[in-house]
Amino acid sequence: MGFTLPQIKNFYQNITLDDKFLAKQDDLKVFDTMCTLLIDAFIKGLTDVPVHSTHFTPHNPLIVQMLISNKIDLNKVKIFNIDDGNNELEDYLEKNEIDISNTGRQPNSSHIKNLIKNYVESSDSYIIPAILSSEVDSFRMLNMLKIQMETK
Amino acid sequence: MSYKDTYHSLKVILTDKTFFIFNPKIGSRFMESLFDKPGVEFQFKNGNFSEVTSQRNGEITATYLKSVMAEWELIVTSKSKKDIVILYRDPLKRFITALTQIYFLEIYHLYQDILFVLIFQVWGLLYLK
Repeated sequence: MGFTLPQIKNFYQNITLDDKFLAKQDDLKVFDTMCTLLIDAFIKGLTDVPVHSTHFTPHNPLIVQMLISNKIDLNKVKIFNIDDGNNELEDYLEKNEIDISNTGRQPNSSHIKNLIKNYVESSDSYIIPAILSSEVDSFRMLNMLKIQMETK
Repeated sequence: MSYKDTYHSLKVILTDKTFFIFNPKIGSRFMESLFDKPGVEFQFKNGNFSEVTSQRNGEITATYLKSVMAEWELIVTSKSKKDIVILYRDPLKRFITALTQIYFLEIYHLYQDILFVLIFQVWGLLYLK
């Protein structure tokens, strides 16, 4: 049994970022295959198609540039890696008596995120490393700078 | 705007004690929700903040913009008394998070022309063999 075009169209148009919705779908495998093909198409086209998003703007290289520019007093600077699990940002905010209890956020679909994570981590495409190379280099520099600043 | 010629910008939130610097997918939603105001998006050139690139349709007042720029001037002349808190993160994790978020918001519009071709390919592979 296959899907009719209106069924597929309806299915795609009704996709939400809700895992409960996804869990109800009868054929998640078809959905996953379609998603993976689209992720692949998206990433392969990432370098030469319009990307109407600021989510890919450079960050780490700009921070390195700022920190090594001698324009700012590094004694005043605190740099927090929000992925390292140390909750340094939360600790800083609490120390400064800023209430962080009202910042509840809606997580993105973990199912979609896992599909993308699996694709990105298993991809042998040159595109992702090429896009992220300066970010990765700067990330390593920031980690080193952070250690230096903390042990000074 | 393509990835290649994307502009270089950073977001800033100024509080009584701190000059926070971050960017989309680097704590931005958390910070903006925490302080209940959008980060001011500045173009960042040659180690300096220059023009404002987004004012979110007037959500940010001119007075606030001036105070942010004035504080940056104090920072670069070592006269500021505020902490400078900079957020950063693993770029691969940021990439995955960003892609997850935009996936259903933007990819459909970008690829709607080929979407149904792909759907029919999958459909054909699975059900017409």
